[in-house]
Amino acid sequence: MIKSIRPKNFDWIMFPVICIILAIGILFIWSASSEKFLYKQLVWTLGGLVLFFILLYFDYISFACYAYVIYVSVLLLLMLLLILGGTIKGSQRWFSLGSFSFQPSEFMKITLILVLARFLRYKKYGLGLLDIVIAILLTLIPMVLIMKQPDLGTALVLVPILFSILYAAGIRLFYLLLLIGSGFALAPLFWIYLLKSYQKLRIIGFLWPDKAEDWGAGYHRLQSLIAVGSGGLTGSGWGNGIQNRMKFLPERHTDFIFAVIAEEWGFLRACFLLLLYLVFIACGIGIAGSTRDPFGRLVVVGLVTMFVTQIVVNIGMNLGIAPIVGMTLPFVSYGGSSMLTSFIALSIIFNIKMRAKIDLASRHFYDIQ
Amino acid sequence: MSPFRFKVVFMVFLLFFLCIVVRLFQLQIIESDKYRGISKTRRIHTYPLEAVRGSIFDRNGTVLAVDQHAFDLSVKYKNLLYSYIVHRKKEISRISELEIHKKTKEACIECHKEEDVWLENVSEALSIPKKDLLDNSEQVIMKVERLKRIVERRNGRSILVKEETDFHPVVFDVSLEKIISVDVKKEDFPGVRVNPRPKRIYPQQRLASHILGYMGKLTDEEWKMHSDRWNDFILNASLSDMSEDSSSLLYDGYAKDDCVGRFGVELYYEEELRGLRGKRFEEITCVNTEIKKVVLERPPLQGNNLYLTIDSQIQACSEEALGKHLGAIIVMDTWTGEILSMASNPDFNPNTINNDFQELSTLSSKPFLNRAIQGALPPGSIFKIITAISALSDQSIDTRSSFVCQGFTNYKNIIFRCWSQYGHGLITLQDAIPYSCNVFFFETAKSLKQENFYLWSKKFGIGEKTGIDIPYEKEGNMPKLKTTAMTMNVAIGQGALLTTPLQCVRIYAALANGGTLVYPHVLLKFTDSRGGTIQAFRPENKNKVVLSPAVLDIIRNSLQDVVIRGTAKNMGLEVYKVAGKTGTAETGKKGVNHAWFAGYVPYDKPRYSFVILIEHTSGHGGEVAGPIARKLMTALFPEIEQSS
Repeated sequence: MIKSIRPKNFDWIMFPVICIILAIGILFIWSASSEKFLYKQLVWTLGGLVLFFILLYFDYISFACYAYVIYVSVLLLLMLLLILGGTIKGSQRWFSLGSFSFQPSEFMKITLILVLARFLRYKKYGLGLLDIVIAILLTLIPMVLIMKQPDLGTALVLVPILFSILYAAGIRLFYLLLLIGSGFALAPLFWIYLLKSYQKLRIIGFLWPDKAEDWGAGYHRLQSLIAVGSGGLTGSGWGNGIQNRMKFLPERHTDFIFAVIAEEWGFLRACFLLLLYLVFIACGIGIAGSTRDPFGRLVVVGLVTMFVTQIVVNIGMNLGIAPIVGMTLPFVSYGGSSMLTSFIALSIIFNIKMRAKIDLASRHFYDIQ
Repeated sequence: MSPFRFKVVFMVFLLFFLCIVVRLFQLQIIESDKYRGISKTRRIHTYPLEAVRGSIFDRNGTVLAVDQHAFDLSVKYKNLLYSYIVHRKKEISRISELEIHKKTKEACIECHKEEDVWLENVSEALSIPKKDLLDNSEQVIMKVERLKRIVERRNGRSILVKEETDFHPVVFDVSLEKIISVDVKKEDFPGVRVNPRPKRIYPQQRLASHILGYMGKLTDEEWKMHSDRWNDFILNASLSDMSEDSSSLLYDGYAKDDCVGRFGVELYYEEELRGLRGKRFEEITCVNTEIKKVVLERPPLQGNNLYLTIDSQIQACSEEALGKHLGAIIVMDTWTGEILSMASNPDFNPNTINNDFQELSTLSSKPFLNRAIQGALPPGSIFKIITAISALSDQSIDTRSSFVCQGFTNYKNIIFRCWSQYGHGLITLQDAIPYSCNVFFFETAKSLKQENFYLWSKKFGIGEKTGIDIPYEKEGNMPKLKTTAMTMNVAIGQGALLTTPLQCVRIYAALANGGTLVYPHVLLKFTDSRGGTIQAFRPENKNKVVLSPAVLDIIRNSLQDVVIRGTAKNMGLEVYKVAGKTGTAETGKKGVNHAWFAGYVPYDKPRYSFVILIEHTSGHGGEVAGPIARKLMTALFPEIEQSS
């Protein structure tokens, strides 16, 4: 049985907020780059919106049914990518199909959320150690594969997702702290075996900025700080940022788009963008809290965490308080895979809100257990 | 799950956002003035300071490659523009449109006199006609204006492009004396900047071009690879020594348009030769792009000098002896593996390679091929000694074994021919080598243990790289011996067997020195810029081929006989006490052979091993390579030449 959606449950706060964020993104991609990128981004945005509405018509419960299948297939794709993926800027993140290229690691984020939620949805009497270990393994396998590409940013998003889903699924606080502790203990292994030299340089550059500026790794950080700082209270005006126009700021239309916004729009309007994001996050948490289907609840928590991590890390690195890892600002940065992933995630959140209140959970879902 | 946990999650998220807002407030409100100052008026520009590449010398100190300073003069764009407008009486459309410019055109020329000074003074100091300077200016201006138009059209408003604030080179390759006259009177040349630029010179022109190689610009991909490696290097240096300041961190890796060694030792010893690039930090103002002050300068580090084992006189004679023939000559120290000369013809001139490259690379004679190490060809009869050693060592034959040569022999209906159609009659090993009788070796091959033969060839390094310190060496081919017919072909150096001249010269050196397979090399030592030796060539463990003294004696005696009474007699080689073996390898085309001559000299006290290869010639080994060997010997032993 497929549950039908209830249009009256469409979130009329979240959707306009997202639309405003999208508009801001397009405005500043226009400012930061040529029209070629602007048109492409418009295409991606419209495509994303269409995908958003199409996905609303599929019952999200079917994601739960196929979670493991999807998980294994995306894992296989990641492995395949390591074997034969094309190389763009020195890393193997993309599959190229003619002119279209896509990034399996982006889809892994959502896939992991689905599979973790499916696995942990009914552990209401507290999570056992075995459950926790399995959940960690489910996260660690794709993480290692993604790091090998190497795509540090995407790999790192998986960690907070795991933590927040475990927390929402009712993990005992003691276990959670233990997990965080062991995470720190294992960090040296990741450092030695998984990180590429330029990634290490960036992290060192973050931890010891004075040293880093000596050998150029601090360049991104410094230029970004100058851009943000020179924005002041009201900014230099759209299209007038010196850092942006004179091309001192690298990766202006992707990872450092927020610095452009801060330079040209100033403190007040940058805070407005932050407020929009916060409203979006609050709505998301609200949906999670009011959803009675445990699978849906965990999924929403995971997706919201994914958005928050990307927003916080991206803006954080623009402000010099997070290491520079490739991470996009959702609905704002230029890029197809990122845009589509964000829309798919958004669509799942809406889907859960529009369906989950109908009854406790689908009978159909129990039938397949 | 309790609603409490959702609240906690939201609180954590809220906290993150709060941190961001606080940081944003700090940057944009509290410290705004600091950053705005940096952004609007001051900017740190870094300029690379080129390192001098190490020079290359031969073993006696003759310069083979050296970096000379070339100097370019760059002029600020604004100055270029004004001189151009004033002298060419042409209008740049965007300036003529300015209302104020129209009104004060005459006055304008007057008040911009300062900007025009450079033209007159540069022209005078360097004795370059003004017209040439203006022509070069025009090219720059057209390019920048076109760029500016494109940018402005796209943005729909006037924009200052970066190129308008830059210096652009308009005079190239100025001599040192003249550049000094410009540099000491800087105030006479407003808006002019001297750019030193190292330029690689090969004073001996074409000499040893295959060994030296040449310099070429990095491609984008190579640059990426190099900068990745540089990052690795920096990282390791900074991790191993995090607390103290590592001096290597002060230098820069490759820049985008850098030249790197492309071939020969320039490529092989790139790391040592390159040196380290320095950096100059200049603080400039954005108002008029005037240099305010030099903040910091890291002087570049010169590369190490490279001394080669090559003797440029022997090298020159080898190249001369080779003449117009397609082929190669190698002369190697029998005991140490030092390469004294390595000629390959046709060659190229590394000084003019950037202009010639297109043309040369299309030639069918392949001038970039270093035939001495890359020409893998059938060795012909010079390989017969390995057959002989193999057969003697596993006792398939001994010195009394004899076969009848009627000019041919057959095996399973296949006829194997001797080079002499009349045959050599009853023949033993002592005659088979000097007269190069094929039939003797065909018959020997029939009784030879194939595995042993294969192993002996391998022991002598056939089908394997010698490991010489010149890139792109070929390994040749030692085929697996499956059938007797195949073994018979290989026994006389034909069939699928392929060797490089370098492998052959090493084999003959081993015969001369008692079985040591030396490491051929061209590196003698590295010295730093002050002349101190940093690193001399250190041979790895040498391979020793264990040969019984009796076998060695037989082989050596027959190699002497080749010159005295065999295929290389009457060439004048016996004066020099040459021991060697001629070879004629069939190419498959009738009347076109590869002529070989390999050996060592003098036979009683060997000093040099040598190999001569002439590709695609009509004559036999002795006829073609013999006279060339004779020319080579006169170069190696000038004292004998004078006395005889």
